[in-house]
Amino acid sequence: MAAAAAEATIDGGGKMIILISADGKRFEVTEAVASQSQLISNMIEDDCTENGVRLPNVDGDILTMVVDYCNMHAGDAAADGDTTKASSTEELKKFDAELVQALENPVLFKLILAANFLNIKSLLDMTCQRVADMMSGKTPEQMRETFSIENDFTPEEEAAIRQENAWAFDD
Amino acid sequence: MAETVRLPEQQRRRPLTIANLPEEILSEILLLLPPKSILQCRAVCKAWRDVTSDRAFLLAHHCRQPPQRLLTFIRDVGSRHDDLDILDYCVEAVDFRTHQFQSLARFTGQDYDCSLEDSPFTVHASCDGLLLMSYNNYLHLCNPTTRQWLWVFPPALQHDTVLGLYSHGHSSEYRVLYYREIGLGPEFYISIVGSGKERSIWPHSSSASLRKWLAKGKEETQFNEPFLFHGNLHWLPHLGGQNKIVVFDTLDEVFRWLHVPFKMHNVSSLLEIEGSLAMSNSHIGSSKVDLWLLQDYKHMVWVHKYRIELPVIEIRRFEEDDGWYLHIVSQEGDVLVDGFDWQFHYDIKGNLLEKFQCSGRMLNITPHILQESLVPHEVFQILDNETQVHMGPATAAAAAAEAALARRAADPLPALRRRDALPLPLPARLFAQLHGLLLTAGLARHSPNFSLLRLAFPLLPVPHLLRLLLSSPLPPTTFLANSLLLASSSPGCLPSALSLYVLLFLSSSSPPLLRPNAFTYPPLFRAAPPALALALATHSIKFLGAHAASCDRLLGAALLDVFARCGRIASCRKVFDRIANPDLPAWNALLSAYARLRARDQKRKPVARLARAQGHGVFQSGKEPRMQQY
Repeated sequence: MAAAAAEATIDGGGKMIILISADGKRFEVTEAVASQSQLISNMIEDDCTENGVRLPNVDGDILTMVVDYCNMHAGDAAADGDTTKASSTEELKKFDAELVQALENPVLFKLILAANFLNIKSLLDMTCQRVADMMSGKTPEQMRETFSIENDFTPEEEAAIRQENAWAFDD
Repeated sequence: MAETVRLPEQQRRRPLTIANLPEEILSEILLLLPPKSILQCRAVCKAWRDVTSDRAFLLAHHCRQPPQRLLTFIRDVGSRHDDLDILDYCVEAVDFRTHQFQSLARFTGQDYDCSLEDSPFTVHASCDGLLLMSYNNYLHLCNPTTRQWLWVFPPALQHDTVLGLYSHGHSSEYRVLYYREIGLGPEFYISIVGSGKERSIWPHSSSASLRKWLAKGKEETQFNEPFLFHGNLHWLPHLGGQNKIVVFDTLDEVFRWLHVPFKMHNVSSLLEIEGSLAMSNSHIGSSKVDLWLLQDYKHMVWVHKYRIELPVIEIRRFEEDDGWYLHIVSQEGDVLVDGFDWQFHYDIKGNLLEKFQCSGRMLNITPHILQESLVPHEVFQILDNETQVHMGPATAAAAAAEAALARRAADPLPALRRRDALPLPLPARLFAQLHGLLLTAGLARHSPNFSLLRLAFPLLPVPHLLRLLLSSPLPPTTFLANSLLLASSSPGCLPSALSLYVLLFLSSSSPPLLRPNAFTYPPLFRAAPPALALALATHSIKFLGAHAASCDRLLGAALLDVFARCGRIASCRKVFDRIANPDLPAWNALLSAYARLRARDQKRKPVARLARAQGHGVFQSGKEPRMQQY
């Protein structure tokens, strides 16, 4: 930790880290940006980022989104006491909303998996919330349709579940 | 590079679906959903059902639910022209962060005189998403989220006063703490919910001063509603009381003092802030409220955290008197101003966020906090196999209630049907469930209530019902007797209704259980042949005379109808004169009685009175008397 901190310069530019996606795309980011990922942060501490960080679970297009997100949020922790903070929080919220809003389901799930693998809590929370919002207020049929889920209940089993809390299915 | 697990090639090529997410992520997503959606998710597929039925998941879900403050108020049922003297006793929960109100329960019942008696309805406690409420001396444990209800006995509220509800240690038991004041001093008791047993606690405190204080009895030691913190119950002193909080340690089951070094004012309340006990402290009508934090619970170290000052002028614009109460209600310093007409929500800086006005009256913002919970509780589970009573949606309009009834008609309470085979005398628990059914049915409007009873009770033979009623540990109420009678007098069930009627009369002592009112006799009259109806009507007239009871309009109209059918003009006049404020149906019934008997001479008198009444504006409803009867 001490060694890593000493290497980083004050202005946050610091050491650059190369992230390599599953399909071989390379992204150069600052340590501050990359260490929002708990996984990479641990690797920086362990000093094993020399030859770039290979991320075999994350495709290039998804990593692009993740890097965009981390770039936007890198200022978060450092901006304490900054007078422009209020406006930048607004901007961030807008950016976040736009990032997840337009995503197709498979892409959204890939982003969730990437956020989970890279261990970026805020991104994981945000994407999970997006999925939860898509579920909320839907009937079981609508949820199956939205998420292409196969109904593996027998009609009797499903009826029994509905009977158990019949009021929840009143609409 | 420890984690370089590759997804199988096949899976990478196929579009990713929600089924590809690891279970812990799916669980994380489902935890974000409100309770009702969780229940719906159970019907989506097996994987989702398994995740959302897991106890650990449900506990985590409970912990994430926003703390909601409970409010109670009463609301009149019916409109101006339909004055039924019936009230809804309502319980709602409010989330101050979203300003969302949620209806939790509603008891429909008779009006009461608030200057003479206490409200028949109380919310005693809230614990782990469960509410302990009483209505008309019946105590109920309810999970408003799963709509499970359970009748709790003991305590017997006729002579016991409930202090609180708690879970004992890490057991799944819920216990009710209460005291009984007969003769010398109050005695404190504990009952495990569902056990049907109670035990006295003594010595109930190691502190002599506290024992002395507790021994003073009801006059001195008023217990407010308790605040549950870290599993223990806390009571603030009643207005002008001692500068100490009374704590009930729920693990050791003893009382102790919690000293407060600062002056508690007359508007104080407890809350939880960052895992510590805190107190909001203010005066009536004050613009300032202080927050004190109990930093070290064991050594009773309190610190003054902050003071919030509100713009009084803004509040005065809405509140005429300076009689409002300020309470800090959240960790974030949200302030609730509880005024006479309005309630206001301010933030920590004194900015008005929202103002509310109650649609009913007698609003009480209780200190109880509800965090919704879908966690299954054993105490309800035991009953699941027997008779589970589900509460109708308290918020639903009459139409929704009717729809629910229609569904029940298709499958009318299978659990109840199984009852027929039960050996008698039946356990008190079943009685509790049936009574619970009566009450919870009352959560919908009064009319579905009775239709529901008709649906439910013909399933049980009358003698069973009656033995059930008589074997109950508590004296059955008039309401229950009336409901049973009404329920059993549906068309075609006259013999059973009559036998129930006779049995109720014979079994009841003084004052009689059965009282003639709008709900008892009219259905019997309608069901009975004329001779029998006449006998019943004569009986009820005698009864009214003997008990100096007044005759309500619906009963009056029904009696008039019976006497008219049987040609008893004199009795008709007697009944009519008993009706305090004869209204349109009463006049019509009397007129039709005369018309039927062709007693033209005698008809003049009531017609003259009718004309006078019209002059005095009795018929304000805009309807005209049906003159075709002349």
